[in-house]
Amino acid sequence: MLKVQSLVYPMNTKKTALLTKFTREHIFLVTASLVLIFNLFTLSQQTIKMAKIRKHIPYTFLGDRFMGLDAFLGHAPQIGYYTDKNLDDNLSARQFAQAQLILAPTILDLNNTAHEFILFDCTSPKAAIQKIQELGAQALKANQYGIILARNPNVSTFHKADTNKTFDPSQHQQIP
Amino acid sequence: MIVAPFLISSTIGILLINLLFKNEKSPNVYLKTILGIGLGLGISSQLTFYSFLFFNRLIPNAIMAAHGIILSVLLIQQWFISRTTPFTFSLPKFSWKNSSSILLILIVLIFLIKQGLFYPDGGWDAWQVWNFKAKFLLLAGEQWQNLFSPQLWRSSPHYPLLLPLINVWGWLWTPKATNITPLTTSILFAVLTGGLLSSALWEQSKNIFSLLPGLLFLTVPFINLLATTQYCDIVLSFYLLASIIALCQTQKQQHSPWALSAGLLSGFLSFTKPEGLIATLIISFLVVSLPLWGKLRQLKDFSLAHAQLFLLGLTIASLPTLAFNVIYSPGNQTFVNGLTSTLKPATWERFQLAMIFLLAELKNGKWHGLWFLLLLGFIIGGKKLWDKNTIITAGFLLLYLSVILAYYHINTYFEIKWWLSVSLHRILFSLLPLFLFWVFGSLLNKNNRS
Repeated sequence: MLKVQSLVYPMNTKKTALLTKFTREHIFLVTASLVLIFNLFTLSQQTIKMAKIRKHIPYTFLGDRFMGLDAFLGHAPQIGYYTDKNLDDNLSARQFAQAQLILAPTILDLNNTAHEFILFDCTSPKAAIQKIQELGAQALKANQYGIILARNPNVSTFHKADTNKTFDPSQHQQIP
Repeated sequence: MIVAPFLISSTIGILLINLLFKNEKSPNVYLKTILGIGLGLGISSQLTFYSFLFFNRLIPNAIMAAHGIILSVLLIQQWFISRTTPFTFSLPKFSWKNSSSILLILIVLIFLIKQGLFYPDGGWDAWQVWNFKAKFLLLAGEQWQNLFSPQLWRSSPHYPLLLPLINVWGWLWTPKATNITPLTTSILFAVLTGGLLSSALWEQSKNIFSLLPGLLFLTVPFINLLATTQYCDIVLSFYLLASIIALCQTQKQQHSPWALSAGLLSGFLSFTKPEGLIATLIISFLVVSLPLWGKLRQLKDFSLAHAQLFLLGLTIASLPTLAFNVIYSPGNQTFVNGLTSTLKPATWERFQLAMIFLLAELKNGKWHGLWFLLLLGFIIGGKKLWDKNTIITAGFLLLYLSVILAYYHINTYFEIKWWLSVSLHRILFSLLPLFLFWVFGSLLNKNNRS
């Protein structure tokens, strides 16, 4: 019996030592390392996939459609931005937001035509021209994306941003 | 020239950190460098803001001159310091551990750059809020205050300007306001956040696994994408983590420069986003209450002198926040008090929805199980996560999450499901490094380990 114990004992201590050494913290760190390996694998897969997509569908920035128009605006602090598109639609809202970035620091006053300069971003050039005629405005510049810059002779001074105006988002959503 | 402003800011910050610590109980070189870069970028942002505050417009020469003066003063100071204590910079010795760590960091950096280049103009808030503000400030001249016009409500005029001003500072050195500068800022802050997390844990534990949480954070594809979208969340995340780390170090090392650094970093934090201001207020509350709490429990971890130094740093760095909120900010226009409103009351159902949404978000696959990993850490760590070494982190997170959830409940301006779907993931994203610091810090800390 004593002999058996002496044979088994060294094995048990080795196991116990191993278990004591392998603490709960190690379980956590091994799990975290496995998550890292998984992350690296999926990240590389997604990057390769995205690179392939970019080869077929090049990156586009909708705001680029408004490039160069700032040269015609002078230093107008604010212009009108007329659109008959539904801005609840992601693409139209994105185009408006990106236009605002490209034309900054000129503020685009959405669907307010009481400005000397108005940008027309309509569903069709016909709809834009119809609105321009309705306002008695003159089209100054049009680009290949159907964006038209017009001048409203009835309004000769710039409308400065009115910082005292109370906030009412619905006012900005409506077509005047 | 794109790199020049970042190099100048970083040099200013690193020299300032060096001056604060003067090689006395100095943190490791990585932590010092990362905190230095963060401080430097914060200083550059504030110097740019002072141009608007004092001259009512952007004056590039004045900003550059201010940078030049500060840099010169710090260099002279450094020269004096190095006469008594020579400036030392030692690179880590070559070993397989170090080499593989550097290789992993490089891989992550490549992924971040690649991801950033897939969307060079960033995400929705980048063009509608942050980069728009930056471009406006750069080009509007004396009409820069039109930025706070209610007509620009889509661009959140009440949001502070730390990130746009960093980009304005960057654009002063380029002929045109291109998207490369905001993209560089974004990638830099992503790397800094991951690096800060790992280097702070290394400072505490000297354990090679300190690298793990930083890499874990930056390799989740969703996080990798969000970090490079040119939003301010990664900037908020960095300054929040830096402030808490500096406070933890103050408590641990009883060393005054940490308290002053914590104050400065918290000041920058308050200028990032409205959430940053809330975070700063909570941190300040903790700092003020810690000495009282210590007195009650007979602990001298956080003295009144440290609290005073923190408040000194905070006051210096939060002057732009104060000026911005008092003079310029039009206030939050998207707030309805649901507790008093009869048209849009804060209902019990709203609260339930917020909680359900939070749980659904935490178990969402896009996080690659990081929140489950943290849960495992909580279970394994047990009491270690709630001892006096982690009281600041734990206390902050509990208070901050409570305030955020209360705000979701009380502000009934937005429909709750939509609001949570567009913002909650970003709040969790900005808090994740701090959660990782808390859990990994408790488990890796030598004093805590079983």
